[in-house]
Amino acid sequence: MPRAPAALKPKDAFVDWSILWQYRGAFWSGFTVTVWLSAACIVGSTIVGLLAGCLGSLPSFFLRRLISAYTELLRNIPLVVKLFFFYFVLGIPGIPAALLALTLHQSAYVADVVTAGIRSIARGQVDAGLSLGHGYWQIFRYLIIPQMLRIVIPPMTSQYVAIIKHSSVVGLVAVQDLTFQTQEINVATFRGFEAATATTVLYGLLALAMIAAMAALEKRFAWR
Amino acid sequence: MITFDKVNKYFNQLHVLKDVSFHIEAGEVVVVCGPSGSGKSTMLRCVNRLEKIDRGEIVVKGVNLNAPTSDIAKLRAEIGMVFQHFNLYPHLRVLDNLILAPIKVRGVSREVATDTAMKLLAKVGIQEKASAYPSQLSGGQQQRVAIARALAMQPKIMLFDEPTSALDPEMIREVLEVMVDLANEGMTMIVVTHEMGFARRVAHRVIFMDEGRVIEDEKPEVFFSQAKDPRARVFLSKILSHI
Repeated sequence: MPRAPAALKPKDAFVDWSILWQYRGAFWSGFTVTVWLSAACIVGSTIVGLLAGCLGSLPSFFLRRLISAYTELLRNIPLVVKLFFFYFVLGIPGIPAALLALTLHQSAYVADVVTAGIRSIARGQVDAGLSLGHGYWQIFRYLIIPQMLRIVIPPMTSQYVAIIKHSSVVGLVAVQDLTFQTQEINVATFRGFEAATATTVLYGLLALAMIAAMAALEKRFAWR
Repeated sequence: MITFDKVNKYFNQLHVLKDVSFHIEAGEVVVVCGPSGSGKSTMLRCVNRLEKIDRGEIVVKGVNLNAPTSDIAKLRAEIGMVFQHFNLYPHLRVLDNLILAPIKVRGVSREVATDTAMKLLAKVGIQEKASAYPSQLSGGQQQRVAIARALAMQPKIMLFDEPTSALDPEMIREVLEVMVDLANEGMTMIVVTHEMGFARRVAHRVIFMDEGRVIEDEKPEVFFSQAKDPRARVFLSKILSHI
């Protein structure tokens, strides 16, 4: 018959939510790491993805192939493998490796969203711009990019939520994010049920906040 | 002002323009009609080189469109174009639709461009919509904005590519009236349209195209009563019968 660990007293068998308060410091520190890591990767992957998506939409065969090679490569290697590559193979420390892996990973998807957004803009917009004497650069700058930025807000929302979710793997290279802290609390107390429940709620709230923020952004920039 | 000399164009294997030749003088209003797929819109898009041609020569305002030295953007700025689906910029308000090209292409100041734009909006009868977005306007209003946007560049030539085909019947009139005013002011116009009433009222000539060729090039009174080619007569009987 398996014995309960020595540290576990009978009353501990019940759910004990006080553990959350007791470890609030760990939760808070993990939560802040998850938030700033996600925020940094959202900014990074947006910049890299916008750049890649725009370059890949230019009428240059070479650029199109180059960008499609970039996105194919990054999308077809698992995120955790990329993380391990930067951490173990290149020897980059945990936090920069996590930032790099997450940013590059999601930038490939963002680039696809941007490319699709640009492709969805009616050909007539370019015709109109050309007929008024605009060059291709002006058409890109004043017509394509502003329209694309509005079109991509809804698909970008799921990209940003994906970053928040994917950031939960960075504990594998010893970055002490929310998921990492949850595991630590479980190891220290065997209160995995309580810790994981709290963590689930926290991730859910983060995602909801992201969705609400993007919905507000979409409303703000609607072409009424 | 506009000369086509044996212009030929292919879309891959498809021969869409076959030896198209004509000459249009300054101030002329020319209506182009013909069955769908006859090459009318393609021909029109060649005038400002939205389409490149494969053989022949197009000279617009003394500029050879095929010559690699031609400043095509400068020429395009002097040729207004109005599209079937308006092609207004959905992310810009009506006024900003009008002033973008004058400011960015011509380098006109915002004040001057706005002033000109407001006058043009008044001319097409929608100055009260200056701060609306295109999606808030009816089709007829959108097309009038599109005409005003083209006029904002003070073009010498106006091209109309089926400007009323996407409109509800009750909105066609308001757009045609703007076009009639423009014709009466002496604008050089090429109008691809099936509005034969418009052709009768203001066109100096009617060009009828079929299968990539110019079949008829006549004064409207001659075209409507004594079209020589049987294809033109069949076409006319089809589109005039239900009016």
